[in-house]
Amino acid sequence: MIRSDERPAEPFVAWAQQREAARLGMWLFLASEAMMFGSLIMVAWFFRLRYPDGVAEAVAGLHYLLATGNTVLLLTSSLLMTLAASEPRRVRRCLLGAAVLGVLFLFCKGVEYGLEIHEGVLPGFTDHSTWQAPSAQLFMNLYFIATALHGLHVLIAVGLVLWLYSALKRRRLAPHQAAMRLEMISLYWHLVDGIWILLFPTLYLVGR
Amino acid sequence: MSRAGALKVYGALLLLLVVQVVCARYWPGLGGVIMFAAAGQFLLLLLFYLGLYRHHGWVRLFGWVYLLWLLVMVVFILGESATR
Repeated sequence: MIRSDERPAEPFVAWAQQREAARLGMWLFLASEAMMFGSLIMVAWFFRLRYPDGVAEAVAGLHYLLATGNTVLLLTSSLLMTLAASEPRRVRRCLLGAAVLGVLFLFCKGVEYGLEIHEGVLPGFTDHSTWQAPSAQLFMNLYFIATALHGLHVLIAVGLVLWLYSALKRRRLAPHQAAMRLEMISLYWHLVDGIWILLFPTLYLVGR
Repeated sequence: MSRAGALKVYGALLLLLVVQVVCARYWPGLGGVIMFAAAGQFLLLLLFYLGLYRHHGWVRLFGWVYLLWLLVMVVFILGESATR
């Protein structure tokens, strides 16, 4: 007897067909994400080239060492997601490790925002502008939007990984389903990491 | 991807991160080097962790779309800088 969760979902007739459709959908979604964050990165560079002095003033106030630590956390989490896909015996351990690193990333980001609020440089959390140049304020607005949006993506990725971890622990997924969901969540995780790889030097490093 | 391969890519990603941070700390004028290192990291991630090297068909096509989007950004940045 074949259990219903061992068959591909309607209207697919084979697992390979369902996996290909899922891959296509996921890559289309990732493309839209790349375009959205790509636009933010382009705007950041536009600011950098148009208002170099104001942007330099804003960048000098950012906590780039904390952000460097956060980059290491995300790169390590991507390694764990890759290992989860390649080592079936350690899937759950790798997933849990990646989720913990994602939570640590969000915690460090929160600490960073806290420091910036304390220093009065984070837009929306201070009544008076501490910047000499108005363009510094513009760049900080962009910094806040880009990093908060990215943080939201990390939060979603952590939620997905924890859901998969829980489903694997309770053995609620058939092997085909588990493999497909792991592949899709890994793709999303890696793209979130890739976006940070480009956001980090654009916002924190260049022109310090 | 094998465990050894994944670790090698991870090592390369960390090395490129070190290049970026050292450049930002000691040679702030080398913004181009920092962004090239970041583009190298993105390429490594795209090829090996996202798995572009082992896929064909439209997955590879999307990989090219990402890379071309990076190229569009570079052209925009350099074009804006040159025509100001």
